[in-house]
Amino acid sequence: MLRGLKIVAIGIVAAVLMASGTLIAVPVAEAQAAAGPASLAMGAAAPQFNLPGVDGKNHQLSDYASAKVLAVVFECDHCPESELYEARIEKLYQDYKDKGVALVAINPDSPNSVRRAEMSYSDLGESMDDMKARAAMSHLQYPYLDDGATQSVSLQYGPAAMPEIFIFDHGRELRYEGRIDDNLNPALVKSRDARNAIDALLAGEPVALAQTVASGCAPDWLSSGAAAVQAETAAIDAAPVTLTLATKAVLGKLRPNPTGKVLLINFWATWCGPCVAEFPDLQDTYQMYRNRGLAMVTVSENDPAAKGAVLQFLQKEHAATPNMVFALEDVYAMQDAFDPDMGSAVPYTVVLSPDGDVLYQEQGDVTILALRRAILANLPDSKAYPGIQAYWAANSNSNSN
Amino acid sequence: MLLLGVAAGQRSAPVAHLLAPGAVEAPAHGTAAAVFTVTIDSGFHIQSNHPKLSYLIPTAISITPAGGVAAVRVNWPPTVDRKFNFAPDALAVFEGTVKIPVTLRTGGPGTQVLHGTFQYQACNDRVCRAPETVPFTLQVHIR
Repeated sequence: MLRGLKIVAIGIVAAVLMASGTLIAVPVAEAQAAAGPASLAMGAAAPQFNLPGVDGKNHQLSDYASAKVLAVVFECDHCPESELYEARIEKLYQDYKDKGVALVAINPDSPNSVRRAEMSYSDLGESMDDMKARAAMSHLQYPYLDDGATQSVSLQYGPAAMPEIFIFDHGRELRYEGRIDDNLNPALVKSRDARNAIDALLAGEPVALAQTVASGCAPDWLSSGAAAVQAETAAIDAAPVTLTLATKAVLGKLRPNPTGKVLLINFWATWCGPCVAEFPDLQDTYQMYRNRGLAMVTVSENDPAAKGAVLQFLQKEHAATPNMVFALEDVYAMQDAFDPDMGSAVPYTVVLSPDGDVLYQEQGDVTILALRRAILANLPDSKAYPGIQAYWAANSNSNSN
Repeated sequence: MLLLGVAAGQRSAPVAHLLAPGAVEAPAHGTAAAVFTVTIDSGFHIQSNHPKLSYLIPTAISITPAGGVAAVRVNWPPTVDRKFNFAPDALAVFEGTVKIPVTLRTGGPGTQVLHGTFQYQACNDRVCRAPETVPFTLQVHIR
């Protein structure tokens, strides 16, 4: 019954997100497939695991045999709820690690099952390298394990949303399952459910509230997520690629940012190796944040006579952004028309606020995470995820890659 | 000798500097070498005359024939294979100081003035400068 309540809760959250324009509607059959496996039954034994961690070591259930209590948290990188709970999970780990409580986090998501559009609140995806970067950025000390290759462990535990916590007693029987606490906003928490359960177990008492409904992102199961990723890629690849001439007048109007949105502009050229190398990451960045209102334009500094070659490159890269090429051969005059302070080399990337203020700029290949964090720190905040903009503002100067 | 390298309208200082032989002595109805020296700023490179990646702009020297004098061969020096972050394989580039002899074929005695251009495109590991075309003149004294 609680599983059914979870599905209803996920449905309600999904409806709110759809209404706010932050979730793409999924047909009912897909939603049911994406609901995932049944959750571990109360009192059931902890399923075995042997998974690689961000610390470079493998972690298995028996490593924690001596702990009085074991907490297994399912979380991921891209989910805004997971992001907002990272600090609380870390505090839970730190507060209880010397009291005989072990905590591990498991990421069930695979880079092959998460669409770019789902990463609209994240700077990165779900690969092990991404997980390491996230752990470094957020200073996570708890073991963070990767189950994305097969999801075989996660399928046995059956998390319905992330973050979700499973708490086992010394005999490794499940005694609590569900949310960490009752509010995404830490200032409004009234019931610290996971801590209450752990405290009860440490005191040798029964857990008063053994099951709650976790809310957050459902795991992207490979069974349905992989097809969704492929469908997204196919749609991006099929979208028309456009290329227009950038006159001095057009460039002059571009600099103050006429879009009313956060605007990413990338100046590049086909003869520029660093430009060509970073181009796919920049296009992915657009796909990640375009539904949250990021605008992006690419401007090629190629000779206008090379327009054909520029378009060929853009088509090969499936560049869905508005794309321009300089209308005149005089590169320096065109650069000056945009901004005399932009520098004369490419690539040059700038992020402008809706008022035309420079939020980020880089002459040279970008550090993609630094760019994305700067964008995330300036995209409008979300009522569904209070504090998410502040989360990214606090991390936008992080050099952890 | 003429030190060239600043194209009209250029905003940033150039990173490759061409030293063209201002004058060349040559036998009539024979051949002579005009040696161009290119010095590339430390940290930068210019593409080879035959880059490994098709989208890179090759270094080139072009000389317009005049008065029976023509460039018949550019004797490109060896390139350096250098690995950069932005490419999976090493690229063939020129760096440091390179000498580029150009073989001229002459006609009858006299002095001919030839006009040419040196084209290059420079990058370092992170940025690329726009392609540059640097004009030069060459006096060939033929006896």
